[in-house]
Amino acid sequence: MTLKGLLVKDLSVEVAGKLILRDVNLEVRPGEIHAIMGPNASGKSTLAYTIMGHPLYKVVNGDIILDGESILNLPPEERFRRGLFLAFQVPPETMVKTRTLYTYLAKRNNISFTKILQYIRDIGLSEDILDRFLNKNFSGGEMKRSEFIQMILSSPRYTILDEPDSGVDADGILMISRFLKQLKERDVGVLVITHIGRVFKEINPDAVHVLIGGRILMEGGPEIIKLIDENGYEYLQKLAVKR
Amino acid sequence: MSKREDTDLKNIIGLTTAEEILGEREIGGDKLVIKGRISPDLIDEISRRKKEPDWMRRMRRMYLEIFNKLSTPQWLEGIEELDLDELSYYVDPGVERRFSWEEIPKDIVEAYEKLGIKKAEAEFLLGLNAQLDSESILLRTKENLLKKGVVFLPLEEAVHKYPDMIREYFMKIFPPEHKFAALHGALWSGGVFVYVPPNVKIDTPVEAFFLIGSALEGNFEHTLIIADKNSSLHFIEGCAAPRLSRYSFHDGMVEIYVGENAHVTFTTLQNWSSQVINFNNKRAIVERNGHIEWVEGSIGSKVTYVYPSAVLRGDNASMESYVITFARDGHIKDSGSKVIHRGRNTRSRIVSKSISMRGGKTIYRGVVRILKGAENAKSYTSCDTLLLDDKSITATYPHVQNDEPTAIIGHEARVSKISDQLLFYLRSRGLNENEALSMIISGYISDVLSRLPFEQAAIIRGAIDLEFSKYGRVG
Repeated sequence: MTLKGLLVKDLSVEVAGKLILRDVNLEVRPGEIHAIMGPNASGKSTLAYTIMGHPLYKVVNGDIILDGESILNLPPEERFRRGLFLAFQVPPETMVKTRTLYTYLAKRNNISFTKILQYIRDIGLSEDILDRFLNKNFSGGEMKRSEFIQMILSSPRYTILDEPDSGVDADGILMISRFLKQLKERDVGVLVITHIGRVFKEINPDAVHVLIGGRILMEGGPEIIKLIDENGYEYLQKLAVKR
Repeated sequence: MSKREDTDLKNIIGLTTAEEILGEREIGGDKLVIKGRISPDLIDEISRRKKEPDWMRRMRRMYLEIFNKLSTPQWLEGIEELDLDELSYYVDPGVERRFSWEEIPKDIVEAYEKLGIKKAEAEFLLGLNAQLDSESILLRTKENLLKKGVVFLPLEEAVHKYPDMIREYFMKIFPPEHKFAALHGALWSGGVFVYVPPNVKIDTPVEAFFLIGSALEGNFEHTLIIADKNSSLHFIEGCAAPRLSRYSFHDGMVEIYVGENAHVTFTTLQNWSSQVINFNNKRAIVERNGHIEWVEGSIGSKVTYVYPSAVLRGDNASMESYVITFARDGHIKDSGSKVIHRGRNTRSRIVSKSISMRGGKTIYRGVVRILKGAENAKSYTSCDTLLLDDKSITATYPHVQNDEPTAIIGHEARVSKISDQLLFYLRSRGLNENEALSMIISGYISDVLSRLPFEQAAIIRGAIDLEFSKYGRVG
């Protein structure tokens, strides 16, 4: 029997001919929360896009394995269908009515429209978001909340949250923290990309991976978050080199 | 893709296009055609076949003379293969006009069934005139249409029954100001005459449906609508053709006279197959407090030139024009709207949404003309283009001329492209590339679609869906 999990193996990724990620290894089991931490431009979003199958991100080495099967040659939509979800840091403006995409996602999981409305209210959005173009003129908070609703409607088995805490107020951070708890309870494997780790207030990650310059320089438990918080990434970088 | 997901997507986007539905089989059996060099004799022959009064024959001859004098507009493109001498100018479908579907040959009825026209007629139309090639083959009217005194007839019949009205209005609203409009006047055949008496409101639409059954046809149907004082009408025009072995030429005309306080909505769903060269001349004259609403869904054809227009003659007269065009694979859509403000407080609103893909070319060509004395006239134009790839082309040529200092004129134009990031985003939500594109396009035209009756919106959505689904299963 194959082991359940999202496995990233010796992954190296090129974007527009430039090597961004080198030899990245990760293993996220169902119900585990992993944090990918790193300074800006360290390759965090590249990792998220590559796992989801962005056509402009070229895997030059390594593999991505979902529940025992390589998904490297699958298009993004197929990766989604196999239970993978990516909540974007900054989702692009669309010409699609929010209602259209929400309904589309909900139908796949037999979620009723009433339920959609309930999720919208629970997460603190207004119903009129449905008649707006998705992500167009959305505030930072609306974008994040909308990404979360889409995640709920998609009921993924593994989800990647790309900087869920950026541009979000204190209430928003608390909400995300609670979400993480729920995801864990439902046995979803979660990869949280963040550079400050504010979202781990109510729940600690099972593992923290520090990504700097496209490589994983350090791995460990929640204590790393504190380390980063108190000393910054530069200190970690030096520490890693010394080793 | 599983069956269930297919169904889900259909719910979002809809059905299929006419060319796809009709396939390659020509429609109709043995046809009598009139072809050869366009000459006074040829004109006389058409007139004789129609047993027309002499005034109409003379009118046709006059337009022929004008046609011969005018030169082809310089800016036309994409009509190189058009050779007027090889076309059939009049194609008798070989079927007498009937009043019930049962009396029409089965294979022809089948075409209308496949296109959903028969069902639409039964369920939501008050009247239907179905034309195959150059002649009307079926006229259906529901009782309350006639009871209200509405006239709904093939134009040929109206020439005999209502000669005074036809003489007064025929090509008066749209004089033969360019070569192809003049040619239309000389060769017209088929089309509908509608007269709505004063104070009569027709809320349920009537429809004229035109089918070109074979290649190398010239098709010149003429629709003339007179909406008398305080009346209202919704007229739907639909057209389709099977996939043809060579081109056919459509040069139709729509003239609408909107009386005082009257309201006319004219909706076109142009779904010609991709061999058809399409000219459609459309104009309304609007009297005091009158309103014309044009909705143009230009889906099919190889080349289309169409500019729904209005002369706002009376005070407070208004026009709304919604134009959706779709060009792909080297096809050209040259469209837009034209309006002339003459009365005081006249208003016009033009919304154009075009989509170019796989080397398609869309052009917006519009005219807003405000004459001196059209005090407080207001005109607003918005034209948006969506480019789906780098091979596709778009251009905007607005023409605005204002002689009235109190007028307010607005114009907005936007070109949008679909970014890789946007496609990736939607694909990461489970849509394949083509599904994502059709969802984007549906959203892009949603504000115009929401103005259409459900059935029509479904046809446009369906055409878009088919465009993408056809290529979508490859990857």
